[in-house]
Amino acid sequence: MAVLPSDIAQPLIRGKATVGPVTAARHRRNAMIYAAMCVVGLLPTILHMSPEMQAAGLGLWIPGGGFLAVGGFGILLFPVTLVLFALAVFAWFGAGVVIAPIIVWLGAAWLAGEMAGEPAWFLAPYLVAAMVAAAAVYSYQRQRARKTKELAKLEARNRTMGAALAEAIEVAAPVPAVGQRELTPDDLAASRYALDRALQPVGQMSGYDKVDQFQTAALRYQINHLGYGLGMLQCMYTPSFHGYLSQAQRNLIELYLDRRIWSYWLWESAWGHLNLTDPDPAAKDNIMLTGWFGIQLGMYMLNTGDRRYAEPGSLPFRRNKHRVFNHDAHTIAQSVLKNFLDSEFCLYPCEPNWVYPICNHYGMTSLVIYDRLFGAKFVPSVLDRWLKNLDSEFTDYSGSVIGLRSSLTGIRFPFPAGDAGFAAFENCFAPDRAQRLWATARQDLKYIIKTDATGAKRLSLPGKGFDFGNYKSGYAGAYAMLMDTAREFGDYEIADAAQRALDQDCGRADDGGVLRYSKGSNLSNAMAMRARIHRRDDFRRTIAEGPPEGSLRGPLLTDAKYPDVLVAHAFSNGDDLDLVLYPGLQAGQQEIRVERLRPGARYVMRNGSEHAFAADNNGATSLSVALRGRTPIHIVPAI
Amino acid sequence: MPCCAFAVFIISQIVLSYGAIKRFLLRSGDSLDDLPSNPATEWRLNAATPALAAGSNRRFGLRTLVLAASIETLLAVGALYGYSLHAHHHHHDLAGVAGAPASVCVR
Repeated sequence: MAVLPSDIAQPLIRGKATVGPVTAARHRRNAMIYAAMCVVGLLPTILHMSPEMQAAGLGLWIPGGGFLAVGGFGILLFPVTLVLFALAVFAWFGAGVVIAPIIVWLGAAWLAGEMAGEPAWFLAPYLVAAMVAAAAVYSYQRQRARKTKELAKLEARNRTMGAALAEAIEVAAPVPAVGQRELTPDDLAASRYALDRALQPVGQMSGYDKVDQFQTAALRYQINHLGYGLGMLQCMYTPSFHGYLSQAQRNLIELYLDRRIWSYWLWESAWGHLNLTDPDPAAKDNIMLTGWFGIQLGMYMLNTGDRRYAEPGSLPFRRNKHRVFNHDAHTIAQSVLKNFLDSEFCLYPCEPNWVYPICNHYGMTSLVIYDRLFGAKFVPSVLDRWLKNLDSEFTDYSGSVIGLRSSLTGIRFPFPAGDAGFAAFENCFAPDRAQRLWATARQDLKYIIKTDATGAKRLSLPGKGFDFGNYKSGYAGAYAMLMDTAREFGDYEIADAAQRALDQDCGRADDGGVLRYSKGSNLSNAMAMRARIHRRDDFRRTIAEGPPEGSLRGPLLTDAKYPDVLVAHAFSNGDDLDLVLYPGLQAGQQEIRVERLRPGARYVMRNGSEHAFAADNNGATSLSVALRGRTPIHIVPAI
Repeated sequence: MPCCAFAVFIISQIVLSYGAIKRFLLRSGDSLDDLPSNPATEWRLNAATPALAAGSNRRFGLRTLVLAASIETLLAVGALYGYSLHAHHHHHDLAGVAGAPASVCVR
């Protein structure tokens, strides 16, 4: 059904300048705690208590403030403490070390008290108070300026939203027909990048970026995105091919259970939740694991009909030989739902105390696919409250979703998250909102569309960029993400411009039959592979619909040698099997195996000529096929 | 994409600052062509190409180590200074108390 702009061109999310009630309550709590610290910190000075107490007291006003009271060279420890405090806050962001800033702040106050041995420097209280006042004024002015800017942006967006939506809908390509999709040779070369990594023995991780396991370069995200790419490929192009494609997805799922992938949670649970005894990775928080992994599991099961990961204990997160956290697809989804229901914000943290709306979009998407798989009603049970809280607690005054908020303090950090990143996920559970987000995002993208030397359009981001997958310069990830989202909304002009930018700037290399971007991280390459094969609504259909019914019950290609046989198309209408194969290495004869035929029935394989054969009593057969370039094969019941 | 955006923002600020300093000191270029290739992308399942990602990790690790060592050194110097100051004051106070009349007071 066509979507009309008038259906969704309602005013953007926020019409009035308020913060959400939960965030406001957190802010009030912060203010009360800080006011109490200031009062307690000032008392020793007012009451002329010992220099030690005065220095420690001033240390409660501002991290390291007590060192100013120590005087002399002790003052030098003040900036050192501020740097250390910034690093502690970074550790809190990066790995959920909630105790780090507290230890630095209170530890510095204590140390200043220990060091103070003579009357406190008389200017110290005034200096500390002046710095706190200056910081407060600066912060207030910044917030006010930001609010003014965002409100102006909201007004401009509301003015142009109708036209922007109409344009986004007008340029969108139609949704491609099911069952007719075929990978091009370039698509196959790109898919080999993912298959190579996924098909190595479980436990080996060659070809991955190994930097840290806490942040965006973590191996778990690389595994997830390789899995998403292969899952979408299977659903949209080759649902009737299992073989090495299904094996690759299972390998990735099983690799994910490796302790090296998820042991970050042992640390984060300890220093973020102060939980040393039961660091279950799929219990409290950690939506960056449950939400992301849930999508990967769901894609595999929905594509293949294989329910092995729904069996109790089928996903063992083994801490050591004595302790295993046994999970399955149900407990993973239940963890996401329970955390949504238990959280005051509804959205809940990744690292302890940090709520990232983007990971919560993954989480909600994982529930969509879970509902589709098992007929559950998890999404309807929580979506209204989730969206309401997304709007009230995690959306800025301009109507854009914010990057993150601390669930402990309610503090929002000024990171420009970008509307495009959320749109594809919302297309799975709130398509009208998704369309609005994309229409907003593409207005901003227009400013970075340039013309290259050949006159073709390409995206052009300034500077050298930043690759989330290895923390180095580069735009592979950004261009891949924009290309992927544009394709989801059928905006092939922007998608093609992004692909041109990828090809021109990110070191496209076609070697050994594999297409890769040498100047991108493994994560960015995985995203680029998915973006390349993406067409309109593919992500939504992979999540919310799955493969066509005929492919779920009809004949299957279950074995072909990798990379000798590449599968570009594999569909069934329930009785036949329609394949397009390519030789991966060299032309010649190859063995393939077909199963789920009718036992003992006779079939014909059409491949230029006709070859009749009978399925065995298990409904299987092995066939020898000659592969020369693009090789269509159609297996049909003999009349 | 991906999660943990603010932390990336922070890291990016550090990396970009480092890059700016490096460019300033070494006068290296600002072109996208200068970006290094990622050896991890070269790996093939059925080829003998070794995975070379470890080299870049070592470079990253070295940078981190240098930064951490600098901070640790600064902290150690500060702590030593603080301790010596404290010990000096303590010694001075005791000496003063021992040689002074009973009316000694701090304030």
